[in-house]
Amino acid sequence: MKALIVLALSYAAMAAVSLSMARHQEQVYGKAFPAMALRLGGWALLAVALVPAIAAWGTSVGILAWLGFLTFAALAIGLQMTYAPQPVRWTAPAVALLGAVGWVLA
Amino acid sequence: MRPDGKPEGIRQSMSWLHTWTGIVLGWLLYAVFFTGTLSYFLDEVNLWMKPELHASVPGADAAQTAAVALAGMQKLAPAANTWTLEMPNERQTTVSASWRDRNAAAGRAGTKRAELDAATGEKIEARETRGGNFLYRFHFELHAMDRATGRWIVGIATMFMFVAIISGVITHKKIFTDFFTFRPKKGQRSWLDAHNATAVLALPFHIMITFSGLLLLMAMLMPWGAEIAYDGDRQAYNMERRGMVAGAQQQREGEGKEGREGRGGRSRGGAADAAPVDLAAAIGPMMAQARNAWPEHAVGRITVNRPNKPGATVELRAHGSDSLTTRGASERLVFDAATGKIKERPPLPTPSAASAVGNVFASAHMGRFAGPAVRWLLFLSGVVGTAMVATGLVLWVVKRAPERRKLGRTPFGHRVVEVTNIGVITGLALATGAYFWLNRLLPVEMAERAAWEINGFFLAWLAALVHAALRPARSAWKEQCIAIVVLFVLLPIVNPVTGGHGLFTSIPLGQAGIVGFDFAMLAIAALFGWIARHLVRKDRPVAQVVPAPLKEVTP
Repeated sequence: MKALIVLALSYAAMAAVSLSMARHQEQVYGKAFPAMALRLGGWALLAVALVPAIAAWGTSVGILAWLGFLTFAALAIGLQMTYAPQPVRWTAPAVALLGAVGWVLA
Repeated sequence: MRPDGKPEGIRQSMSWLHTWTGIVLGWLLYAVFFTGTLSYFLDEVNLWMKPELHASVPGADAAQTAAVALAGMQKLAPAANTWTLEMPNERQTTVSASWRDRNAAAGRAGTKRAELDAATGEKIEARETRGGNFLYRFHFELHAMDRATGRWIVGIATMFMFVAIISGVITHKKIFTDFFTFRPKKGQRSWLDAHNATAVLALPFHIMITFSGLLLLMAMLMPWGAEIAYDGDRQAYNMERRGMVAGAQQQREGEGKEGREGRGGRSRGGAADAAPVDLAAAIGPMMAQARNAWPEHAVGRITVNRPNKPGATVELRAHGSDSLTTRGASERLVFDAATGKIKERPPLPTPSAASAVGNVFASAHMGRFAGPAVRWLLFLSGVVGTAMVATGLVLWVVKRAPERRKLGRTPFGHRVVEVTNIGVITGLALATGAYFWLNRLLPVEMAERAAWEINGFFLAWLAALVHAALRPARSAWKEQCIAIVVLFVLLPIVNPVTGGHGLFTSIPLGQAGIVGFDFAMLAIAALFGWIARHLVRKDRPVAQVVPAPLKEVTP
């Protein structure tokens, strides 16, 4: 459960970071647009994902686990941008919501 | 380095450095990554390779298991000086017992071991095998050479890995804009993307694993600082590094054994002839107290000092700890066996800042602390690392395909790299599969059985290399991938047929370690099956000259 929360938040964060880049904006929305807010929001969400990781595993293991989840969240986004970029419009907010709900309930 | 003599930028020179350190040590690094990644499941591999242990199914009540095991020890080694019992957990079905007799030789030689059935306390005779320990040892000291030489070789390769990481980051021009980019079906481009993605996305893991690997081998590679500072007294250095003061350890141990005996003898007076404590009965309340003391942790280890003698003590140690800084130190409770009261509650050691940092890296490298989620993360990161090395090796060949086409022949050096790539990348997986098969096929009573499992591993590896040399590259890749699929997909079937607990038994019994191994084998089969499918599909249209198979080795 705790693993899924960290993974979900990292996934949403990586989605935001990728959508702040022109190449991926074109893939998903067909045009590029300035997106500093998305970029900062993505980075902030990445930092937020560290909180449940440390709460679940303690500081040292938590940081290690967080880095691991970031890697696999980024890999997931990389694969999604390769094979099915469009659905990220709804998968990212949906997963972010699930992660947040899971965190509140846990 | 440029043949035309033009000045060369930092990127070109780093690219050159990256390519050549990569190809020269890449095969070794691949083997280190591959066997090291499997070592995250060392306990699971050990358990699988001793199917006799599968029959041991611990009950739900840990106190009951402890009582049964202690009764078993009473039969097995009543006269021993100490008993140590590793309790079953999600990765271990049995109670691993070890004991030392009164006049036992110092160190490991004097320790006797046995696996006890967790439900009955009976000793289980398991087959002779090195199990996962062979793969684990191989990943940092290789095989068939003395330990120091093997560690030196792996240590040097690790340093080159560090060089490859740094030069790779400098070489990679669009490290940020390409962060999420993978372009499939574009030959060399795709290979480069896959190599970059596995390298960049898992960069924190790569740096951690390489740096901590160096730290773990440090004492072997760079002993001079410590030798000079401690006048060659290696023991004193190790003691201080672990946060102990030289000499204090013996003193403390002295107190623990002789001192306690002396005190016990005095205070009890004539109690020496009192009936020995029935530990199997006494352990229940102690386990309950331990559960209250650490509700988050199960009891991982039970140590009985001086069983069946006056002044016996029972130490319970928690399974796992919450911090990497203490390197596996966990909470302990020491009971007086006669009264069942807590006698000591030793505090956790507080390491110095330097050794805390060292411990974090060492623990992170080995995953010793890790629960299933973090262990799988480390394992998958290891898979990504292995794929990074593999894609890099293949990229070397793919990149030189145009040169081959221009020449109209394959230069000998290119062919050597190509053959070695196949012999190492798929060959090592084949050898590992053969190792697991031999574990079940070699007769249990065979002489030198454990050694022949390992010989079989190397013979299979050699066979893969020879096969790669004899066949055209594409066919060799394809055939070896298919062979891997066959070997690994059948392992979960071979398991129950040859005496282990198959999935239909292990899943209902909740034997996570055995289930995990079988599923990991199926996952490996699926991964290579997917690669094989790519190769077979690509072969159907006009055969290509470019040996650019294995498009996405990324997991």
